[in-house]
Amino acid sequence: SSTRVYIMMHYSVSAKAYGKIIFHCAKYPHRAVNGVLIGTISKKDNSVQVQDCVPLFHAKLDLTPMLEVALTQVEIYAISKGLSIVGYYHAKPQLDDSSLTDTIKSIGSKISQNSDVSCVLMVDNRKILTSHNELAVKMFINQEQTNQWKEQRNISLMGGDPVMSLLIKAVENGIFQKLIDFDNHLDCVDADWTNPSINKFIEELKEQ
Amino acid sequence: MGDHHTAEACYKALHHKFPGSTRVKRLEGLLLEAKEEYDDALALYTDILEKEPTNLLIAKRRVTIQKARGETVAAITELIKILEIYMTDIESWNELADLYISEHSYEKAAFCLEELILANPHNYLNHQRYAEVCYSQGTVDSLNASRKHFSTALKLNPGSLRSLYGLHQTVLHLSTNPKLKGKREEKVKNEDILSWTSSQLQHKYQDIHRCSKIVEQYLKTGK
Repeated sequence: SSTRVYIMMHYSVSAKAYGKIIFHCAKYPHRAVNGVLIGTISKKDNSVQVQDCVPLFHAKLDLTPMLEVALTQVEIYAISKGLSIVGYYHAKPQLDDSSLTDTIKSIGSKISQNSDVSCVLMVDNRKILTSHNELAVKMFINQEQTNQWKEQRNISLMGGDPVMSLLIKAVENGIFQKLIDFDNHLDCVDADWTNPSINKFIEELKEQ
Repeated sequence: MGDHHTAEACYKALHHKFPGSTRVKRLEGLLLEAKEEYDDALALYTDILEKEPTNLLIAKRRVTIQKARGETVAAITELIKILEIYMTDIESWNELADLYISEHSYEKAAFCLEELILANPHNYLNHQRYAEVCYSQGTVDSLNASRKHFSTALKLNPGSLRSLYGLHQTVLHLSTNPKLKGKREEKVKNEDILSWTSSQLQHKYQDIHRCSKIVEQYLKTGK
């Protein structure tokens, strides 16, 4: 990939993407979970829109074969929707730990190989259900020249606080049990990791 | 579940009925763990182990606390000590394998999984997991081991989608690896296995509308 000059870009996250991240965490509260962020890049506005996400795994996150299968298929899916892979999210099982590990950095770097931008969203487990006005994620950007991952706060939720409250309420109502990740799909081929019904649910939630 | 009140009430009732019981004491420890009072829980467990040094369940609780605190290296050391005494404890070998995997110590994880395969060679999950670890190591030898064990897992459980994908990815890497061209003659060629896995995958997805198109394209990549 070509050299990129590091510019501070603004990331806005859709309800669909953020909703599925917290649903994924809620479904497997005692495990690490991860997934891929897909969206659009607007170079002239210096912004990235995280339009959607695909939840990947809740077990054996550190092994490569299924990750490779998943990344290939998610990329194909993203392209079919006119989107590209723009990042990766990860929630650790320990309540108070949202630090980057070598695995997370290497997955993040792998994902950014074929992308113009890439971020890693680390979930802040304590904040998921308690914060109604602050995103429960920390964003890390890879600064190409230094190859370090640094925290950036230039991230917001599309639709703001009202959307966040609706999503938290949805978690409390148990809808997260229906979320399908790639692991679920590998256990049962009928399980659809594109989550059409959850996507529809979130869209309808926003219209209320 | 977060319902500490009910848990405490149950514990109190049991403690009242069985005052000297170690089992009940373990519940007390679990309650402390749930409330994240790890130091108190550890003190309780150390106390029990002094009186009952061979109490495996309590020894394992110590490992759980270390895991909860993110002290992976300490948890590994503790588990190794447990396994020196209880060499056939499947749960411990499984746990140790997971801890090694999280530390990227794939060779050590492989050793644990080999023990599990020896203990239970007909369990397809052991072969599948071992194959995934070998694949993650990424050397030609480890990929060949991966090929062998994904195949065994599939033979033991033909319905395993994970093993099918695993075998597919493995032979894909092996057949496109330039270092392998012209090397040793194999009984079954990687390219032939690749054709088989591709057709098996197509067959699995033929009735699944949305994903089948994605899988069609997936099968075309990397060749």
